Amino acid sequence: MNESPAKYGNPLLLIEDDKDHARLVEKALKDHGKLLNQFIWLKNGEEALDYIHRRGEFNAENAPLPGLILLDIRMPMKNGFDVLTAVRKHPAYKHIPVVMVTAVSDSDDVKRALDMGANDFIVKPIRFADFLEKVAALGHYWVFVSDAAIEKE
Amino acid sequence: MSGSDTIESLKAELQHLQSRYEVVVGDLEDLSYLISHDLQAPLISINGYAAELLEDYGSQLTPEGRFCLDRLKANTKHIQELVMGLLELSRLNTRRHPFTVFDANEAGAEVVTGLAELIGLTGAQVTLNHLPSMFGDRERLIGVFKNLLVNALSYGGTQVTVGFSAGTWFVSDNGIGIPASQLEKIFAPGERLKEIETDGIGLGLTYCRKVLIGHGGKIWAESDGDGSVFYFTIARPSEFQNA
Repeated sequence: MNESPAKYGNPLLLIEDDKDHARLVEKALKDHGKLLNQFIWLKNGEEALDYIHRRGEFNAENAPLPGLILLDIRMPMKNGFDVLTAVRKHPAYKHIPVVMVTAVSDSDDVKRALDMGANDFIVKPIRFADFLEKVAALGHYWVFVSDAAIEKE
Repeated sequence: MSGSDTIESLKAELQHLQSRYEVVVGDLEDLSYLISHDLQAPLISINGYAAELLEDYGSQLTPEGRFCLDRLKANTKHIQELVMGLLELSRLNTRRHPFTVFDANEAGAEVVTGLAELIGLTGAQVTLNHLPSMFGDRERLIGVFKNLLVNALSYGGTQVTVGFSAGTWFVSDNGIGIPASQLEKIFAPGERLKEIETDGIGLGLTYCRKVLIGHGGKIWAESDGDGSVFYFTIARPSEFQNA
Protein backbone atom coordinates (compact mmCIF):
# COMPACT_ATOMS: atom_id res chain seq x y z
CA MET A 1 0.00 0.00 0.00
CA ASN A 2 2.93 2.41 0.58
CA GLU A 3 4.36 3.17 -2.85
CA SER A 4 7.32 5.29 -3.80
CA PRO A 5 6.63 9.03 -3.62
CA ALA A 6 4.44 10.31 -6.45
CA LYS A 7 4.81 13.75 -7.94
CA TYR A 8 1.42 14.91 -6.80
CA GLY A 9 1.75 17.14 -3.76
CA ASN A 10 2.02 16.13 -0.14
CA PRO A 11 0.83 12.70 0.88
CA LEU A 12 -2.39 11.76 2.61
CA LEU A 13 -1.72 10.01 5.92
CA LEU A 14 -4.31 7.50 7.15
CA ILE A 15 -3.89 6.33 10.74
CA GLU A 16 -6.22 3.38 11.16
CA ASP A 17 -5.83 0.06 12.98
CA ASP A 18 -8.59 -1.86 11.22
CA LYS A 19 -7.06 -3.29 8.05
CA ASP A 20 -10.44 -3.76 6.37
CA HIS A 21 -11.39 -0.15 7.00
CA ALA A 22 -8.00 1.04 5.76
CA ARG A 23 -8.42 -0.96 2.57
CA LEU A 24 -11.94 0.38 2.05
CA VAL A 25 -10.74 3.97 2.51
CA GLU A 26 -7.92 3.44 0.04
CA LYS A 27 -10.37 1.95 -2.44
CA ALA A 28 -12.84 4.79 -2.02
CA LEU A 29 -10.20 7.47 -2.46
CA LYS A 30 -7.78 5.97 -4.93
CA ASP A 31 -9.79 3.57 -7.07
CA HIS A 32 -13.17 5.21 -7.15
CA GLY A 33 -11.97 8.70 -6.32
CA LYS A 34 -8.78 8.61 -8.36
CA LEU A 35 -6.77 10.42 -5.69
CA LEU A 36 -3.31 11.02 -7.09
CA ASN A 37 -1.52 12.08 -3.92
CA GLN A 38 0.60 9.41 -2.27
CA PHE A 39 -1.49 7.42 0.21
CA ILE A 40 0.36 6.36 3.35
CA TRP A 41 -1.29 3.96 5.80
CA LEU A 42 -0.03 3.78 9.38
CA LYS A 43 -1.42 0.78 11.26
CA ASN A 44 -1.71 2.18 14.77
CA GLY A 45 -0.94 5.05 17.11
CA GLU A 46 2.60 3.90 17.91
CA GLU A 47 3.54 3.73 14.24
CA ALA A 48 1.99 7.18 13.76
CA LEU A 49 4.10 8.63 16.56
CA ASP A 50 7.25 7.02 15.11
CA TYR A 51 6.38 8.55 11.72
CA ILE A 52 5.78 12.03 13.13
CA HIS A 53 9.02 11.95 15.13
CA ARG A 54 10.91 10.22 12.29
CA ARG A 55 12.28 7.50 14.52
CA GLY A 56 12.36 3.69 14.38
CA GLU A 57 11.91 2.66 10.75
CA PHE A 58 11.10 6.24 9.71
CA ASN A 59 13.40 9.03 8.61
CA ALA A 60 13.25 12.29 6.69
CA GLU A 61 13.25 10.39 3.38
CA ASN A 62 10.46 7.89 3.94
CA ALA A 63 8.30 10.03 6.26
CA PRO A 64 7.43 13.15 4.26
CA LEU A 65 5.24 15.80 5.83
CA PRO A 66 1.62 15.05 4.94
CA GLY A 67 -0.87 17.48 3.44
CA LEU A 68 -3.72 16.01 5.50
CA ILE A 69 -4.09 13.44 8.26
CA LEU A 70 -7.10 11.12 8.49
CA LEU A 71 -7.04 9.92 12.07
CA ASP A 72 -9.16 7.10 13.47
CA ILE A 73 -10.44 7.93 16.95
CA ARG A 74 -10.73 4.43 18.26
CA MET A 75 -7.48 2.45 18.24
CA PRO A 76 -6.02 0.15 20.89
CA MET A 77 -3.16 1.30 23.19
CA LYS A 78 -2.42 4.73 21.65
CA ASN A 79 -5.77 6.05 20.45
CA GLY A 80 -6.67 8.97 18.18
CA PHE A 81 -6.61 11.47 21.03
CA ASP A 82 -3.05 10.48 21.96
CA VAL A 83 -1.89 10.93 18.36
CA LEU A 84 -3.78 14.22 18.04
CA THR A 85 -2.04 15.57 21.14
CA ALA A 86 1.36 14.64 19.70
CA VAL A 87 0.50 16.18 16.33
CA ARG A 88 -0.58 19.48 17.85
CA LYS A 89 2.56 19.63 20.01
CA HIS A 90 5.02 18.95 17.17
CA PRO A 91 6.33 22.18 15.57
CA ALA A 92 6.28 20.82 12.01
CA TYR A 93 2.86 19.15 12.38
CA LYS A 94 0.83 21.55 14.42
CA HIS A 95 -0.72 23.33 11.44
CA ILE A 96 -1.41 20.25 9.36
CA PRO A 97 -5.17 19.68 8.99
CA VAL A 98 -6.44 16.67 10.89
CA VAL A 99 -9.79 15.04 10.09
CA MET A 100 -10.92 12.57 12.74
CA VAL A 101 -12.45 9.35 11.46
CA THR A 102 -15.20 7.75 13.49
CA ALA A 103 -17.49 4.75 13.07
CA VAL A 104 -20.14 6.29 15.28
CA SER A 105 -20.79 10.03 15.03
CA ASP A 106 -20.55 10.19 18.79
CA SER A 107 -20.86 13.84 19.64
CA ASP A 108 -18.75 13.62 22.81
CA ASP A 109 -15.77 12.02 21.06
CA VAL A 110 -16.04 14.42 18.15
CA LYS A 111 -16.42 17.47 20.39
CA ARG A 112 -13.42 16.39 22.44
CA ALA A 113 -11.33 15.97 19.29
CA LEU A 114 -12.37 19.37 17.92
CA ASP A 115 -11.55 20.97 21.28
CA MET A 116 -8.14 19.32 21.14
CA GLY A 117 -7.38 20.86 17.77
CA ALA A 118 -8.80 18.53 15.12
CA ASN A 119 -10.16 20.44 12.14
CA ASP A 120 -13.13 18.31 11.22
CA PHE A 121 -14.49 14.77 11.41
CA ILE A 122 -15.79 12.26 8.91
CA VAL A 123 -17.94 9.20 9.50
CA LYS A 124 -17.10 5.71 8.21
CA PRO A 125 -17.58 4.42 5.63
CA ILE A 126 -15.70 7.25 3.98
CA ARG A 127 -17.12 8.27 0.61
CA PHE A 128 -14.98 10.18 -1.83
CA ALA A 129 -17.61 12.91 -2.25
CA ASP A 130 -17.71 13.57 1.52
CA PHE A 131 -13.92 13.51 1.66
CA LEU A 132 -13.68 16.13 -1.10
CA GLU A 133 -16.22 18.26 0.73
CA LYS A 134 -14.17 18.19 3.96
CA VAL A 135 -10.98 18.98 2.08
CA ALA A 136 -12.64 21.90 0.28
CA ALA A 137 -13.98 23.24 3.59
CA LEU A 138 -10.44 23.23 4.96
CA GLY A 139 -9.39 25.47 2.11
CA HIS A 140 -6.18 23.58 1.40
CA TYR A 141 -5.77 22.84 -2.26
CA TRP A 142 -3.24 20.06 -2.11
CA VAL A 143 -5.46 17.24 -3.34
CA PHE A 144 -4.73 16.01 -6.84
CA VAL A 145 -7.54 14.12 -8.48
CA SER A 146 -7.55 12.68 -11.97
CA ASP A 147 -10.22 14.05 -14.31
CA ALA A 148 -11.76 10.62 -14.77
CA ALA A 149 -13.05 10.73 -11.21
CA ILE A 150 -15.04 13.93 -11.72
CA GLU A 151 -17.12 12.38 -14.50
CA LYS A 152 -17.97 9.38 -12.35
CA GLU A 153 -19.24 11.53 -9.46
CA MET B 1 -30.85 2.86 68.39
CA SER B 2 -31.68 6.50 69.04
CA GLY B 3 -33.48 8.64 66.46
CA SER B 4 -30.32 10.46 65.42
CA ASP B 5 -28.36 7.19 65.13
CA THR B 6 -31.06 5.87 62.80
CA ILE B 7 -30.87 9.01 60.67
CA GLU B 8 -27.07 8.80 60.54
CA SER B 9 -27.07 5.19 59.47
CA LEU B 10 -29.76 5.89 56.86
CA LYS B 11 -27.69 8.78 55.50
CA ALA B 12 -24.64 6.52 55.31
CA GLU B 13 -26.64 3.86 53.49
CA LEU B 14 -28.03 6.42 51.08
CA GLN B 15 -24.53 7.68 50.32
CA HIS B 16 -23.34 4.13 49.76
CA LEU B 17 -26.23 3.42 47.39
CA GLN B 18 -25.58 6.66 45.53
CA SER B 19 -21.93 5.68 44.99
CA ARG B 20 -22.91 2.19 43.87
CA TYR B 21 -25.45 3.68 41.45
CA GLU B 22 -22.83 5.97 39.94
CA VAL B 23 -20.44 3.06 39.46
CA VAL B 24 -23.12 0.98 37.77
CA VAL B 25 -24.10 3.86 35.49
CA GLY B 26 -20.44 4.36 34.60
CA ASP B 27 -20.05 0.66 33.81
CA LEU B 28 -23.18 0.73 31.68
CA GLU B 29 -21.90 3.68 29.70
CA ASP B 30 -18.52 2.00 29.15
CA LEU B 31 -20.20 -1.23 28.05
CA SER B 32 -22.59 0.55 25.70
CA TYR B 33 -19.79 2.56 24.13
CA LEU B 34 -17.69 -0.56 23.67
CA ILE B 35 -20.54 -2.57 22.22
CA SER B 36 -21.66 0.12 19.84
CA HIS B 37 -18.20 0.98 18.51
CA ASP B 38 -16.79 -2.55 18.40
CA LEU B 39 -19.93 -4.00 16.81
CA GLN B 40 -20.12 -1.20 14.27
CA ALA B 41 -16.56 -1.72 13.03
CA PRO B 42 -16.99 -5.16 11.43
CA LEU B 43 -20.46 -4.19 10.18
CA ILE B 44 -18.89 -1.30 8.27
CA SER B 45 -16.44 -3.76 6.74
CA ILE B 46 -19.17 -6.23 5.75
CA ASN B 47 -21.16 -3.48 4.08
CA GLY B 48 -18.05 -2.14 2.40
CA TYR B 49 -17.13 -5.52 0.92
CA ALA B 50 -20.69 -6.23 -0.18
CA ALA B 51 -20.76 -2.85 -1.93
CA GLU B 52 -17.40 -3.59 -3.55
CA LEU B 53 -18.62 -7.00 -4.80
CA LEU B 54 -21.69 -5.37 -6.27
CA GLU B 55 -19.82 -2.46 -7.87
CA ASP B 56 -16.83 -4.33 -9.26
CA TYR B 57 -18.26 -7.78 -9.95
CA GLY B 58 -21.99 -7.17 -10.10
CA SER B 59 -22.09 -7.47 -13.86
CA GLN B 60 -20.61 -10.97 -13.60
CA LEU B 61 -23.29 -12.12 -11.17
CA THR B 62 -26.72 -13.46 -11.97
CA PRO B 63 -29.73 -11.53 -10.67
CA GLU B 64 -29.91 -14.08 -7.83
CA GLY B 65 -26.31 -13.33 -6.92
CA ARG B 66 -26.95 -9.59 -6.84
CA PHE B 67 -30.08 -10.22 -4.77
CA CYS B 68 -27.98 -12.11 -2.21
CA LEU B 69 -25.66 -9.13 -1.89
CA ASP B 70 -28.58 -6.72 -1.57
CA ARG B 71 -30.01 -8.82 1.26
CA LEU B 72 -26.58 -8.98 2.89
CA LYS B 73 -26.38 -5.18 2.89
CA ALA B 74 -29.98 -4.78 4.11
CA ASN B 75 -29.44 -7.16 7.03
CA THR B 76 -26.18 -5.49 8.00
CA LYS B 77 -27.92 -2.11 7.96
CA HIS B 78 -30.58 -3.59 10.22
CA ILE B 79 -27.97 -4.67 12.78
CA GLN B 80 -26.33 -1.24 12.61
CA GLU B 81 -29.64 0.46 13.34
CA LEU B 82 -30.32 -1.95 16.18
CA VAL B 83 -26.93 -1.24 17.73
CA MET B 84 -27.47 2.53 17.48
CA GLY B 85 -31.00 2.17 18.83
CA LEU B 86 -29.80 0.17 21.84
CA LEU B 87 -27.06 2.71 22.45
CA GLU B 88 -29.61 5.52 22.45
CA LEU B 89 -31.79 3.61 24.89
CA SER B 90 -28.95 2.96 27.30
CA ARG B 91 -27.93 6.61 27.11
CA LEU B 92 -31.30 7.60 28.50
CA ASN B 93 -29.91 6.21 31.76
CA THR B 94 -26.32 7.32 31.48
CA ARG B 95 -26.53 10.72 29.84
CA ARG B 96 -28.79 13.35 31.27
CA HIS B 97 -29.38 16.60 29.46
CA PRO B 98 -30.63 19.74 31.22
CA PHE B 99 -34.33 20.53 30.94
CA THR B 100 -35.26 23.77 29.20
CA VAL B 101 -38.37 25.57 28.07
CA PHE B 102 -38.67 25.52 24.30
CA ASP B 103 -41.13 26.28 21.53
CA ALA B 104 -42.80 23.04 20.40
CA ASN B 105 -43.83 24.60 17.06
CA GLU B 106 -40.18 25.16 16.21
CA ALA B 107 -39.29 21.67 17.38
CA GLY B 108 -42.15 20.17 15.39
CA ALA B 109 -41.14 22.07 12.27
CA GLU B 110 -37.57 20.80 12.71
CA VAL B 111 -38.84 17.20 12.82
CA VAL B 112 -41.04 17.66 9.76
CA THR B 113 -38.17 19.15 7.79
CA GLY B 114 -35.97 16.23 8.79
CA LEU B 115 -38.60 13.78 7.55
CA ALA B 116 -39.18 15.57 4.25
CA GLU B 117 -37.99 12.59 2.22
CA LEU B 118 -40.29 10.08 3.93
CA ILE B 119 -43.21 12.50 3.77
CA GLY B 120 -42.57 13.01 0.07
CA LEU B 121 -42.37 9.25 -0.52
CA THR B 122 -45.65 8.52 1.24
CA GLY B 123 -47.34 11.62 -0.17
CA ALA B 124 -48.72 12.29 3.30
CA GLN B 125 -49.99 15.57 4.65
CA VAL B 126 -48.57 16.41 8.06
CA THR B 127 -50.39 19.09 10.04
CA LEU B 128 -48.90 20.77 13.08
CA ASN B 129 -51.61 22.38 15.16
CA HIS B 130 -50.58 25.42 17.14
CA LEU B 131 -48.49 23.97 19.97
CA PRO B 132 -47.66 25.46 23.37
CA SER B 133 -44.14 25.55 24.76
CA MET B 134 -42.65 22.44 26.31
CA PHE B 135 -40.43 21.95 29.33
CA GLY B 136 -37.92 19.12 29.15
CA ASP B 137 -35.01 17.59 27.26
CA ARG B 138 -35.47 19.19 23.86
CA GLU B 139 -33.32 16.71 21.97
CA ARG B 140 -35.11 13.67 23.38
CA LEU B 141 -38.59 15.11 23.07
CA ILE B 142 -37.81 15.84 19.45
CA GLY B 143 -36.86 12.17 19.28
CA VAL B 144 -40.33 11.30 20.58
CA PHE B 145 -42.07 13.41 17.93
CA LYS B 146 -39.83 11.96 15.26
CA ASN B 147 -40.54 8.34 16.26
CA LEU B 148 -44.30 8.93 16.42
CA LEU B 149 -44.34 10.65 13.05
CA VAL B 150 -42.21 7.95 11.40
CA ASN B 151 -44.61 5.31 12.73
CA ALA B 152 -47.66 7.23 11.53
CA LEU B 153 -46.15 7.56 8.06
CA SER B 154 -44.86 3.99 7.92
CA TYR B 155 -48.17 2.41 8.79
CA GLY B 156 -50.29 3.87 6.06
CA GLY B 157 -50.99 7.36 7.36
CA THR B 158 -51.70 9.92 4.66
CA GLN B 159 -53.16 12.49 7.05
CA VAL B 160 -51.09 12.97 10.18
CA THR B 161 -51.78 15.59 12.84
CA VAL B 162 -49.68 16.73 15.78
CA GLY B 163 -51.53 18.65 18.46
CA PHE B 164 -52.08 19.51 22.10
CA SER B 165 -55.40 19.47 23.90
CA ALA B 166 -56.48 19.45 27.55
CA GLY B 167 -52.96 18.88 28.89
CA THR B 168 -52.22 16.02 26.50
CA TRP B 169 -50.06 15.88 23.38
CA PHE B 170 -51.16 13.69 20.50
CA VAL B 171 -50.08 12.39 17.11
CA SER B 172 -52.94 11.00 15.08
CA ASP B 173 -53.03 9.26 11.72
CA ASN B 174 -55.50 7.62 9.34
CA GLY B 175 -53.34 4.57 8.74
CA ILE B 176 -53.99 0.88 9.25
CA GLY B 177 -54.71 1.21 12.95
CA ILE B 178 -53.64 -1.07 15.79
CA PRO B 179 -55.48 -4.21 16.96
CA ALA B 180 -56.71 -3.88 20.54
CA SER B 181 -54.53 -6.80 21.63
CA GLN B 182 -51.39 -4.97 20.47
CA LEU B 183 -52.02 -1.53 21.98
CA GLU B 184 -49.77 -2.23 24.97
CA LYS B 185 -47.41 -4.73 23.35
CA ILE B 186 -46.14 -2.30 20.73
CA PHE B 187 -44.25 -0.42 23.46
CA ALA B 188 -42.14 -3.46 24.28
CA PRO B 189 -38.63 -3.58 22.75
CA GLY B 190 -38.41 -5.38 19.45
CA GLU B 191 -42.16 -5.44 18.86
CA ARG B 192 -43.61 -4.34 15.56
CA LEU B 193 -47.01 -4.79 13.93
CA LYS B 194 -46.94 -7.77 11.58
CA GLU B 195 -49.51 -6.22 9.26
CA ILE B 196 -47.02 -4.21 7.27
CA GLU B 197 -43.40 -5.14 6.56
CA THR B 198 -41.16 -2.25 7.51
CA ASP B 199 -37.43 -1.89 7.98
CA GLY B 200 -37.98 -0.67 11.51
CA ILE B 201 -36.13 -2.16 14.46
CA GLY B 202 -38.98 -1.97 16.96
CA LEU B 203 -37.31 0.27 19.53
CA GLY B 204 -38.98 3.59 18.69
CA LEU B 205 -41.94 3.32 21.04
CA THR B 206 -39.76 1.82 23.78
CA TYR B 207 -37.60 4.93 23.47
CA CYS B 208 -40.65 7.21 23.59
CA ARG B 209 -42.01 5.54 26.71
CA LYS B 210 -38.67 5.75 28.53
CA VAL B 211 -38.21 9.41 27.63
CA LEU B 212 -41.70 10.30 28.80
CA ILE B 213 -41.34 8.38 32.05
CA GLY B 214 -38.18 10.41 32.57
CA HIS B 215 -40.33 13.51 32.12
CA GLY B 216 -42.81 12.36 34.74
CA GLY B 217 -45.35 11.55 32.05
CA LYS B 218 -46.73 8.63 30.12
CA ILE B 219 -47.64 7.53 26.61
CA TRP B 220 -50.44 5.32 25.31
CA ALA B 221 -52.18 4.48 22.07
CA GLU B 222 -55.79 4.29 21.01
CA SER B 223 -57.14 2.91 17.80
CA ASP B 224 -60.61 2.24 16.41
CA GLY B 225 -59.32 0.52 13.27
CA ASP B 226 -59.58 3.75 11.31
CA GLY B 227 -56.12 4.99 12.15
CA SER B 228 -54.41 5.51 15.49
CA VAL B 229 -53.80 8.21 18.03
CA PHE B 230 -50.75 8.26 20.29
CA TYR B 231 -51.23 10.39 23.38
CA PHE B 232 -48.55 11.51 25.80
CA THR B 233 -48.22 13.72 28.83
CA ILE B 234 -45.33 15.50 30.51
CA ALA B 235 -45.30 16.56 34.14
CA ARG B 236 -45.55 20.29 34.82
CA PRO B 237 -42.28 22.03 35.79
CA SER B 238 -43.44 22.42 39.39
CA GLU B 239 -43.85 18.66 39.59
CA PHE B 240 -40.18 17.96 38.82
CA GLN B 241 -37.89 17.25 41.74
CA ASN B 242 -34.67 16.59 39.83
CA ALA B 243 -34.78 18.29 36.44
